[in-house]
Amino acid sequence: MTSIPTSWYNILADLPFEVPRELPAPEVEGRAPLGPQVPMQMIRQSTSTKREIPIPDPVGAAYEAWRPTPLRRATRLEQALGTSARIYYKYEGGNVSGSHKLNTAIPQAYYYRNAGVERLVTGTGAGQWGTAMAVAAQMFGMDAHVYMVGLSYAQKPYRRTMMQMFGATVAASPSGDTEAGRAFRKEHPDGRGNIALAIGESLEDVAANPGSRFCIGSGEDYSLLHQTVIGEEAKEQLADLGEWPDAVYASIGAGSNFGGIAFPFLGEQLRGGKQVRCVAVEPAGCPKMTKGVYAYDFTDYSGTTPLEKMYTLGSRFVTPAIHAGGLRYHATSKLVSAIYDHGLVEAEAYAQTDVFGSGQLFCRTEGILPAPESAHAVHAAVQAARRATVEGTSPCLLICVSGHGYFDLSAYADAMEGRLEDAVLTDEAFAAGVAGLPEVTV
Amino acid sequence: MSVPDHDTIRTGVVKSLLAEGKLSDPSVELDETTAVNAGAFRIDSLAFIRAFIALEDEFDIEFGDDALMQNTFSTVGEIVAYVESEIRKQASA
Repeated sequence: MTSIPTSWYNILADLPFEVPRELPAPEVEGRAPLGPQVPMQMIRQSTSTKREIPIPDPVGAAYEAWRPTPLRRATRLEQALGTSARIYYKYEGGNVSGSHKLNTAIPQAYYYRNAGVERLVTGTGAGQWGTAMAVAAQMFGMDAHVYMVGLSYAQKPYRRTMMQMFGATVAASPSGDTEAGRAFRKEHPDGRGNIALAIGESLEDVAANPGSRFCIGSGEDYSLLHQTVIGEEAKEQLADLGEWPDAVYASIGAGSNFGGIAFPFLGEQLRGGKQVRCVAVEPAGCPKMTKGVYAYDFTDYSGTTPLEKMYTLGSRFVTPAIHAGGLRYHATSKLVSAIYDHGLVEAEAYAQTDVFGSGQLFCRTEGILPAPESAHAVHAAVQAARRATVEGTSPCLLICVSGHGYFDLSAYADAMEGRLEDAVLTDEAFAAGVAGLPEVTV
Repeated sequence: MSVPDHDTIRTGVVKSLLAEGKLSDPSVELDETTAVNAGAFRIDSLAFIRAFIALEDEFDIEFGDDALMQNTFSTVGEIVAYVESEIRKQASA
């Protein structure tokens, strides 16, 4: 029987190269005195080269509410495809937040509370991270305030209800509460917003409210580390079945569910063990890995954050109105980016109408409605399974179904009624995004 | 535990800050009057915490998240004073 991991897997211990360090933020007039924003415990985790980072007991106890998560063979999907591939999926939607985000929200809340923080502020795209953070903040006795991307705020009002049920306050971003929000509204009056702006508004809020700290659901090394419980469990579950994946598929936003399921398998390969293809799947409307540039960039819209070297479309890139809110971030994490740059993982991009088609197929066959983000991973695996049949091969494919899509039914309704459009990256949008890349001297 | 003198602590702090931060003008020397992030010396908050982690190793002490997160620092001298007070506190405990 699979056990809950007692430690997170730290891929830094096995990487044959160093990940480029971040660069300080540009100087800003009137900047407030410097104070630590992130608990030292989490930075220690980000800089450690120990392979196993122990999971604190209170975090492990909280994980017991829903972990280990199920790993199942998608036999009915295989039959529907008539494929010779063996398809497995790891389902992370079976907790109160409905996604994998709770895997890092809980340890982050634990460390922030131990550091004396009273209020957590964050930005959320699709609302999955905001919900997870609201749950975790309440668990450890903190207030929570969430800037939710305006488009998702309008599309998914019940995500907002979930956050409020756990005591969080929620503002649509762009909001009228911050300079960044007000400036964005002037420039882009449609109110759609994006995750980079929501993060920028959160940072401004924190600067104005002592006792508050910003926390982030994905992108930083520690959040990817916390998510490795997914891959650690999956490895053990597949081993119990005598299986090893030829390919692992996960959607990619800032990188946490991808890193979470892929890194433990990739680590085996890096240590000289079995080979694995790890495939990050992104929307064609926000193709930061397949079309972006590898460059130092801001992590939010405000242009005041430290610069990280990432695959990016530029922090000023305005993402088209795609439904996978969690994948709308303009870049992916510096850790995933560095690993991709060294050719250790792959990336594929797909149009959202095709993705929603595979999401529906997965729901009809496996009885779980995947989040639009997760449907990207499902779609890529479906494509691989079809190729395998043509090629006469029988690969083992593993999908991370990072969350459920029950708050995304309006998007599925649009898909079923033919109202979805396939957003594509235009040359103009790409040029505008990368034109905003900062000039740096390394 | 013997307590290092003020100069040793200042030297350790300056070394850690320089290792993690960025001095835009190499002719400027970091001293206790140097402003943090309001002049030639810049360091972001993550690098700042890494500097404290290096200081833990250098002086064999531990900074608690709860105490450190409640402080802000405008100058190198304020950081030196904080580190010195923590070293003395832990030496007498």
